[in-house]
Amino acid sequence: MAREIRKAARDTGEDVAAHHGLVKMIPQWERGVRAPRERYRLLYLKIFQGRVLGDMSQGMELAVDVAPRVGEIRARAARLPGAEEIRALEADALAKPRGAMTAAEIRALTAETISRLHEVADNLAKLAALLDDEDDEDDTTDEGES
Amino acid sequence: MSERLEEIRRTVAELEVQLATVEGSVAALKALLAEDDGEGAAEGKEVS
Repeated sequence: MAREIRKAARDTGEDVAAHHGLVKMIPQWERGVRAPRERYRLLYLKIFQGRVLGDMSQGMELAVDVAPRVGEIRARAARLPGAEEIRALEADALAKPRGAMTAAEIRALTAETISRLHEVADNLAKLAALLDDEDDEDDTTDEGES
Repeated sequence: MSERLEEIRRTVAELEVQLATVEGSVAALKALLAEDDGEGAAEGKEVS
């Protein structure tokens, strides 16, 4: 905290006590033994406002940029056929006279598609866990504040 | 939080690529069937 106060003071051109002086004063302020002068209170405020705004900007970025993309991804994933349906497409394509692709190419394309489909499922689960963690963190913060 | 946000962004970007690949492959398989149907229909017309 002493380092942060000195850095905040440097940024605003304030004079503050030397590092070792702050190291002695800060525990006294925090225990309520002594009250910090106004300039130190303002520096504390500046430090904590910076932290809160930093967290808020990340939360807003998540809400504004990432959340709509997550919604779009989930909608697109829901429209995808399942592995069974892809296998059925493969069977139909193999059963019909072939034009643009050989049987081997159709099989390779199907295998690749199903493999990618599994990757999509894995990443959707990972994303859900990451977003759940965000919610849990918010809940914890709320509980901590109440 | 920033590490997790970065991980979320990375996963979202990966998913967008993977989804586009799967959608493209499924479209290719369906196009193959449509192409065959079209050819079959065209052949049918010629015969009749």
